[in-house]
Amino acid sequence: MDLVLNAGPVVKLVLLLLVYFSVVSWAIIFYKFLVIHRATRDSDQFLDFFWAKKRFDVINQGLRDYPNSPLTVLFREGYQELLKIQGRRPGEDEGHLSTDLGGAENVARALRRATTLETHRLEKFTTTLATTGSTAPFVGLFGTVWGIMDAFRGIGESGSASLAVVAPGISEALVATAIGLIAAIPAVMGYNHFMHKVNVLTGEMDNFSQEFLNIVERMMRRG
Amino acid sequence: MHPNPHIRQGIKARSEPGLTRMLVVSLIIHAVLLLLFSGIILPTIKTPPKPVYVVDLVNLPVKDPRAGRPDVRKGPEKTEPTPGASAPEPKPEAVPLPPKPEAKPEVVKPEPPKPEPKPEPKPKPEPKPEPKPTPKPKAEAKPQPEKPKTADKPKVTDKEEASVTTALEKLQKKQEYAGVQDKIAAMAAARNKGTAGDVPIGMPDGKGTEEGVASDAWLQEYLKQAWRLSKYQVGRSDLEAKMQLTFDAQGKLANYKFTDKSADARFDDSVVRAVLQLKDYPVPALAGTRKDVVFNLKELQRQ
Repeated sequence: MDLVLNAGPVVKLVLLLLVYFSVVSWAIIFYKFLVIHRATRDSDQFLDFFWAKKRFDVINQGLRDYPNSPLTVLFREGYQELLKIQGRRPGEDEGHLSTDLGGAENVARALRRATTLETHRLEKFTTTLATTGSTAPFVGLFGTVWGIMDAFRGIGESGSASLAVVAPGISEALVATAIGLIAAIPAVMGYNHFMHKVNVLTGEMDNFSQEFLNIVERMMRRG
Repeated sequence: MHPNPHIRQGIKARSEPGLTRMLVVSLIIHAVLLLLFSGIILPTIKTPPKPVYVVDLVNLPVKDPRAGRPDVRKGPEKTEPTPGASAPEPKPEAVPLPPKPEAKPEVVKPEPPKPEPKPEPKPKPEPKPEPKPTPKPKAEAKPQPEKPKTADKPKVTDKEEASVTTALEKLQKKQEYAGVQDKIAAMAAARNKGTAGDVPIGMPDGKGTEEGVASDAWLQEYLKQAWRLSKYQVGRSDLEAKMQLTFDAQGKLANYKFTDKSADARFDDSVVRAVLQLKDYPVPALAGTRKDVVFNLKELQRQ
């Protein structure tokens, strides 16, 4: 604690910035942990529900039970697009679809758009983690370099180069690097972890889109 | 449905954790950690440094040392100043020797010449203030026989006077020198007496009753002083060897074996040579014990 209090104003400013980085990155880590955990859990449950039910309208009614799953958004977007296509032909029943107006492609585009939006939602704030992970050590290093410059100036003024004179200034300066690493390490770890989870979920969304399109096309062919 | 398809309707139904709430949680956690590590809530954990004892090998090792210091000696200056081999040297040299031999030969030489009445008053005041205890009787004893001589030979030439005065000056300087030496010796003796008298011989953490140092500390100091190895003989500074020493019932080294050898034969040889110096030195406090000793170059370089 004394090391921080005895540091120079620039080093203190750097330390304050690094503490801010740390607070924000940990807040994002907690936030992303909850978001991705809930998304994964709800997606698994929704997939079980989806394959258990045969009718889209039944599935659509049960979407409220899985509010955090990105797959429910995909299903809703695709289903709504499907209903729009149905609406263009009011005389036809549900399940009496055809591909003559490119209905399947419309659904595919809707699913792609939904996938992109959901991926963005899941990746939200992770750039802050990446920025903290990559810049915090350098910010800390800047504080250290500045502190060592100060320390050497003090040594020059005092005229003594003994360890007792040199060591305190350098140890105060090194605190900045230490805090920078303390802020950066969890941020980098969190970023890598969450990006892996987002990639897994994105893969699930792609798979689900393909399955959804297959079903739609089968329905359209059956006419 | 919203006319802009990029605004998703589904998100509104979600109960996502707010980032603001998470910021507050993070801030609280940081504050708690800061308080913990700053020592405000919990006292900072400080491991006490391992005590390093400077052991005087003159003090014999005992099994159950009392509280005291292992680096002080008994104060034998009063009785016999020459029991020790090396340490008590300054005491016998300084205290008893200077006054006696210096006074005798130089006072004997100027006796035959006449000018003794002049030197008589000088030596009298000088020995009195400087060497307090010893020189008095000698200075008093010598002038008594000299007085009748001066009365017999009243004629004094200038040359004789000059030679006598120079001799007296020399004598005076030597006496002054002796006086200074006396003072230094007295100060050293007083200092030794003080330490030995105030602080008993023992160990700082000793709880026993015996006067002496702990056998482990003594053994460590003994081996440290017996170990001879130059850092230039071995190229590395990270060498370490562990040895187990077994002592017989008389406290003599009965057996030794390496429990962990260093990679350097010269290092191991130097360790063996140091240990073998214990062979002819029975230490009763170590009788029947088995000690594990670690030799490393850091300890050697610290000497």
